[in-house]
Amino acid sequence: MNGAMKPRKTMSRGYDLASIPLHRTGRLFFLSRFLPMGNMGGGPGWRCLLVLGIIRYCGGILFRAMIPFEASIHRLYQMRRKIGSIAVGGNGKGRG
Amino acid sequence: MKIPKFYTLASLIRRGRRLAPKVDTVTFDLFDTLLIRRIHDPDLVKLPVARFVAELARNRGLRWSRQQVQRLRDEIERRHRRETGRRFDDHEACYPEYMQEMLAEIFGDFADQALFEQVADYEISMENAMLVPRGLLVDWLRELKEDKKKIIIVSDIYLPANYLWRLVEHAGFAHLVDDVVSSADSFLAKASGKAFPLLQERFSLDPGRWLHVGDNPISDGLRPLEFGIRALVLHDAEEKRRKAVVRRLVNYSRGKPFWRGRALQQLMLPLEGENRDRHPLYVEGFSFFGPLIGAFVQEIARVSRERGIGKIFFLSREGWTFKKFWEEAIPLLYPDGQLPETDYLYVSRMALAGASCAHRGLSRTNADIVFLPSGNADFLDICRVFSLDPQPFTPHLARYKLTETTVLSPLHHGYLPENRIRLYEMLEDEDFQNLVKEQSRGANEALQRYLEESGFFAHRNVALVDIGWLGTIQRFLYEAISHRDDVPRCHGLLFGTTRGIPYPADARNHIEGLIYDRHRFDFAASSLLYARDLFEEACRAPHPTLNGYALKKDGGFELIFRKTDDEIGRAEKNQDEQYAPLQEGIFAAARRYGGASALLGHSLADYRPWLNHLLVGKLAFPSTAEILAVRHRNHLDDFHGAKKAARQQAAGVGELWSRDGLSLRCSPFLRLRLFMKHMKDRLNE
Repeated sequence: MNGAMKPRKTMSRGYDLASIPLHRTGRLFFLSRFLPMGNMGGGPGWRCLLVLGIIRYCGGILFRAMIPFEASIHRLYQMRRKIGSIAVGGNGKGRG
Repeated sequence: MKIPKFYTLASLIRRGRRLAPKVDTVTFDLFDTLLIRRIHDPDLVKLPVARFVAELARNRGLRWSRQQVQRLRDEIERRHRRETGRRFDDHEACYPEYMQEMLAEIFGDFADQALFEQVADYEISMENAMLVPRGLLVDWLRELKEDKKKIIIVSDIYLPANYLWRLVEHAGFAHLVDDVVSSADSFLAKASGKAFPLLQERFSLDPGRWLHVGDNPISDGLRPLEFGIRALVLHDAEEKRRKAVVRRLVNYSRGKPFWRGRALQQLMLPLEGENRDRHPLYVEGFSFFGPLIGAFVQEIARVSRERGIGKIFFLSREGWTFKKFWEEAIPLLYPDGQLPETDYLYVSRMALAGASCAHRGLSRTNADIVFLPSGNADFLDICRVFSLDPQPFTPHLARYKLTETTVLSPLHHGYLPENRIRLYEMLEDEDFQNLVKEQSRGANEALQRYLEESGFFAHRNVALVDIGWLGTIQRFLYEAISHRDDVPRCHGLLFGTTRGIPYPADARNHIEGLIYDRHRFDFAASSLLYARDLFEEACRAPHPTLNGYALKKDGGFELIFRKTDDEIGRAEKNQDEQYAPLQEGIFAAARRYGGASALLGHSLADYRPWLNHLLVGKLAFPSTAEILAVRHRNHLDDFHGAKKAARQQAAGVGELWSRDGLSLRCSPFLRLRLFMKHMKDRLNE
């Protein structure tokens, strides 16, 4: 068995597809900016790729560092959502 | 009171092992502890059930949408919880009670125990498709069992214990568990702490020698500690990370169609002990071929229901894989069972070509099809493809100044256009055609008997499922039987259609490519043309190809298969061995595809952007290592003769997958150049 035939896992360590990982999606999306590639439903979007990339490549450290403070972070997040909702004229409820 | 929290499963188990000698009983929470879900939100498992109930209602002429069913379920469940809250400390609900009430409201008199069982079975099968046991915890359970500890699972959930047993049995650790207790049976839950006195009384437990493990800081941490029980609470950072990935993919897929297929693949991925080291071809089968074939068979099911197709015939040999995939994936997608019958039909281009001439004779188009591959050159090749004996045709050939070996293909040396014209003139000769019909009659009779026995003529609409590409198999099949009055309407559903020769479609006989169709411009999907043989070999059944149909002396028929002990037979066997892990990956994906796609509720149209991305990424822009690992070693094509053409047909983009490693690595911008050429070819079509 040569290098390419080495056994591997179907899901990589960052909960990604080993067969077509996120960076490859990003590379192809970048190429599709210059070369028409057909119907890709609008593509993945840079923001989505960035967020998934952070979880994929830095998530291990980030989640381990943040998990003891999960409750506090969650409260802050709820507060931010409420403030954001009030700022746009909502009542802070019913936002998904 | 300090709750002992653990941020990794390994650290929790280490602590648990240290505590184990001090306890006789270990109680475990079930969800998010012993079992984890592939999906981030457990409520999403209810959506396919709502769809199923709406479908059942529609089948009985009742107008209910999925959203209405889900709303009703939520309302009734909430009401049940409120009523329980008036009598108990916990606001619990019991699944059979509120579901039966919901079904009675929707179905009225039709609602009975059998209907409830049907719905409940589907909900449990969806749960089972989404639940995975945590490997390390199950290993620890095994150790605890060996140490003679009493192991009880206790869960705050709407499902009674008998349903939880089914989940535990499916997860494979029921033999390690002494009992399962659910709050749905007693309305005494861990959340209020009432479940612990109940357990103590029922199993005569000593709180001082009792350890509880769970994931909720209150229900599984604070409450047992208040009762004097040791408790360990899992707050798994990696689980949170995994769920964060799933949640984002599912949320993104609502607004961006691109992510729908990716979310599907995320839900299909193996977790915990399932995710072990595999052969690279298994990984490709699971992650690349699996979703493509899954979307293809799901679309076949949708089209079949829409068009009232009575029976689906999966055509050999690629249909073998499609049928197996169908059997694994489709029951979860269409649980109401309103699906056509399925069967596997032994056919091949060579076998059907011989039988196709018995009534219509040899047509000019069919003769042209013979000369598409560069290995065919003369009348002997026509005879080989259509299973004709060349000897009796000698006088006819002589009449048109032709011989058996006159070159009739423009790709070969010695080709003269007037010879091709003479061939066409001969095809219009009645005597010639009568001889063709006479020689084809036996095979045609045998084919018809085989089809009669398969129930082919018993339906008004049948689907013929094959991999592609010109639709030659269906063309020959239909020509062989089109003279009959009872011939059904044939819907050819192909993985991809290239339509190199126009298909003679009419209202009773047509083909369409579901993943790629040349008639429907889809540039990304046309990447399939890079490696068609790869798909054929990946899906091919492990049995030899069919050479023909023959009548038996007793009036029956027999299927004549190609022998397997020659060089080509050995090459096929070798190919089967190479692709065995790839097919294993495809079938492993089939089991996951059904559950994941049912949960998301998407169809091929939703998955298409991601599948296109897969096709372009994997076939047009593959890595060199991928090509070297995945490409097939042998490809049998009996249709293709053995003659060497003087002028090779343009290699096209298929060239990428047949290049050697050095050129794949060193040729500058090879993939980009071929992709541009591919684009030019498609635009010029």
